[in-house]
This record gives sequence, structure tokens and C-alpha cells, in this order.
Amino acid sequence: MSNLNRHSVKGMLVVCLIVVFTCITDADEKQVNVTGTSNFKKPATQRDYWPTKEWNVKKPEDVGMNSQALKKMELYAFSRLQPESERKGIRTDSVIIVKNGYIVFEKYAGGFTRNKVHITWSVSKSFTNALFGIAIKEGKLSLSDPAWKFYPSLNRGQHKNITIDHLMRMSSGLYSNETYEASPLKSTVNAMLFTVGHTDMAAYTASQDLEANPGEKWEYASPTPNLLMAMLKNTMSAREYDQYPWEKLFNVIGMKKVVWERDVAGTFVGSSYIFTTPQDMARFGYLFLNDGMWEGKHLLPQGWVAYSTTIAPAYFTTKLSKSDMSDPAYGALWWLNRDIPEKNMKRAFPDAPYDMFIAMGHWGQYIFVIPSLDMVIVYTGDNRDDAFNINTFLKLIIDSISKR
Amino acid sequence: MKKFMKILVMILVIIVIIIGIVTITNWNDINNFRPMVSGAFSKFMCSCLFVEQRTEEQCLQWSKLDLPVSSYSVNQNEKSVTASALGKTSKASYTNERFGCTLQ
Repeated sequence: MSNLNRHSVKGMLVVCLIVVFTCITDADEKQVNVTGTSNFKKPATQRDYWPTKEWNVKKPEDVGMNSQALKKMELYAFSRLQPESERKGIRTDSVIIVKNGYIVFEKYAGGFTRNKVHITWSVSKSFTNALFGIAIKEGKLSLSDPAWKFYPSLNRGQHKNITIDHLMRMSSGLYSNETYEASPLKSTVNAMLFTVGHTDMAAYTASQDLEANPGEKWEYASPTPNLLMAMLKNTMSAREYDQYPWEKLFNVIGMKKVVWERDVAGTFVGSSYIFTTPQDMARFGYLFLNDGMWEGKHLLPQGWVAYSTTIAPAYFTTKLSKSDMSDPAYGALWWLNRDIPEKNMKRAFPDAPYDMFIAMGHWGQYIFVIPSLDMVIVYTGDNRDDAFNINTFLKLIIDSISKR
Repeated sequence: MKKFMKILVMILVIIVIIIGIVTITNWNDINNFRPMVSGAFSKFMCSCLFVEQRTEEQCLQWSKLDLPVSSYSVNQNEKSVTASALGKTSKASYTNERFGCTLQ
């Protein structure tokens, strides 16, 4: 080969490498653009370790908290006064407090221990959110994609206009009746989980008529994350899908024990059926606290946490029910403790900061993420009535912070 | 006394008619609802026993619904729970340590 040819080949190789490198960099830098405002601001602290292997523990006093004051929370939360058979009152199964990256409080009850998994119910929706963040970062789909592209039966009438963003923000317009015990005959959640929809929850969801134009009405609807998880399934092989949550998320952040149940069609029940340990729930909250970064790398796309914590646009154009008005506001498969002056709404938990966002599940499962206090609080329980007051619980914890 | 009986019968007839109308107009929902109790109970019990690995006594407390099941059985060998209620029978089976239980 002549010198000239050698130089040409070398040159071509360099150009190819630059092109490949640019492509990889572009993929890594995938960013989600957010319209609207988020109250999320990543804690400025430089992390001195990541809890991938183990959580490190500190005394409350080492992170500016007061153990004696924290006792009040312990007395409040762990006071099972009624007989087990009656299932009344505050029935806490676990509390974990992570402050400045360290576990400062951890306690279990109700037969649960550190290594036992607990049902998370709708906390699962926030895991669905994270998997979509990862899939979007990988370029498998994008927020603006029409849903029918990944779920062809939606390619009909106005259903065509439903986007992934609408589903993420509970604004698809698909009919939903989110009642549980209150109205069992009409509940679409019960129908989806246990009766006419349980074998293929996404098909049941997609078969619903529209009650509003896509993007115009906000309505909390458990079926939608299951439709999302079926759409995700259609972007990859069945084998890849079955491993995807573990390979891309759970194992990466060191979640040790996770069970994610599927329906008969093999779709992960993205609305309700993740079981995991409170320590692993804390890891998941910590991922969002750190703006989707883990071990110094972006696991979620840049801007994803801001997107997740921005109020769903349809929220502003929807006539909210009385109970919606007393609930936190809604982002994208995360609840937000935000004041909304436009709707004359005060934040749901007035004694907790305005930047707190929450994964919330039935009967008292919570991951509270509070960036301004550099905190993640995990709560699991079996609260069948209204005895447990979230604001009181959070106030007792926040009051124990002596240095802010 | 006769007048009182007449009024009582009329009230009963009206109640029966109202129940009949509500049943007919909601027949689809009622029929769809019938597997709800057996479905929820079997799924709750399966996940509680084989995923959360709690005791049968704890799981019975946790899975108790407003409407009771007429019967249930736990098959420890195949890790499944079968339950009957309102004339319907449902079964939830444990798959493996990643995928837990599925209502069949």
C-alpha cells in the first residue's frame, strides 16, 4: 500500500471514529425539554459515596438532626393500638430517613424486616416513569411520539392523538373511574386488576372510550401506566423486556430485592405491582433526588426530573374534584407538594417544603423526595383508614432538623 | 292495622321495583363485578404468602375484603391460591422470584 493510501485509510478511520464518538456523545447527552416550571433543584452537595452496595449510616446528630425530637415521630408512627384483626388506626410497617446521603433512621414493624419486600401499590407508577426516562435516553421512543405507534389499536379516531407525554401526565382523555372500595361496581381499577381487564390490562385500557380530547383533561388513572408498559414491551424482544427493569434500573442503582408482577399477557403491571424493600425504595428516591444521576453518570436523561416535577399542563384546564383539590398536584407519574395560585390551591402538606415530590401508593406506601433538605423518606404501612396524617408525620421529622 | 299492612306492602313493592331497576340498569357492571372478590382475594393471598413470605394468618388478615369468600385453598406445592365468591372461582399462581404472582 502506498503512503498516500495509508494516509487516506488513517484519515478515514479518524473521521469514522469522530462520527461514532459524536453519535455516542449525542445519545448520552439526550435531553428532555420542559415547558412549565419545576421546583426541582438538585442538592448542591458533592456525594462522598453512592449506596449501590450498602447504605451508610450516621447518627441524626451527625447530619444536623435531633434524636430526641425524632422520637416524637417514632412514637406517632409506630403506635399500633388496635387489634390486628380490626385493621384500624396507624399501622406503620417501616420508616427510613435518608439525610445528606446517609440513613439516620430505620425501623420496621408489622412482621416486616429489612430484607422483606413490601407491596408498593401506586409507587410502582414512578418506577414506570423511570423506565420511560431510560428508554427515551436510549432513543427507543420519545415523549412526543403518538401512542398508537407502539400500541396499534389506538390508531383510531381521536385516540390517534394520544401521545406518550399525555399518558405520562395522566391526560390521555381515556375513560377512567379511579375508585377502589368506594364504588367497586364502577371502578376501572378493580375491573383492570381483578375482573374484565386483568388478563391484558393494556388492552383493557386502550379499549376505553375517550371522555375528553387527549391533552385537555387531567384525571388520575391507574390503567395508563399499564398501557405505557405494554408500549415499552413493543419496542424490544420479549426476552429483553423481561430483563429490562433489572438490567437498566434496579441492578444499576443496587436495588437488591425487587419483584415486579405481570399480567397474563406478560406486561409488567406498571400501575401497582412492584414489591421491594424500604431500603431499595430509598435508593430509587435517591436517584431522583440526585437529578437522575447515579455513580456520577446520568441514568435518566438530563431534564427528566424537572419534567417529572412540572405540573401536567392539563391540570390547569381541568375542573378538579374536591378530593383532587386536597391531594398534591401532579407531574408525570409523581405527585407534587406545590402551591398552585392559578387554581387557588395550597400545597397538600403545608409543613413540608414546596419542592417535595412524592411516589404514593394505596394503604400508605410513600417515597418522599425533598431536595431542599437533601432528604428521602420512605414509609410503608397498612393504613386502611384516615388515622395516619402525612403532614403530621413529615412535620415531626422536619422539626427534628436543628440545623438547616 | 289493615291500612298499616297495605302501606307496608306498598313500600316493600316499591323497594323491590327500585332494586330491580337498579339491577337491570347496572346488570353489566354487576355481572362484571362478580369475579372481583375471588380475583382480589386469591391475588392478595398469593402475593402475600409467596412474594412477601408472610404467615397464612397475617395474609388472611391483610387479604380480608368487605365481601367474604365462600372458600379458598392454598396449594403450597405449585404455589397457588384458589378462591370462590359470588359464584365465581379465581386462581392466582406464583411464577418465580422476579415476576411473583399472576391472576390467571
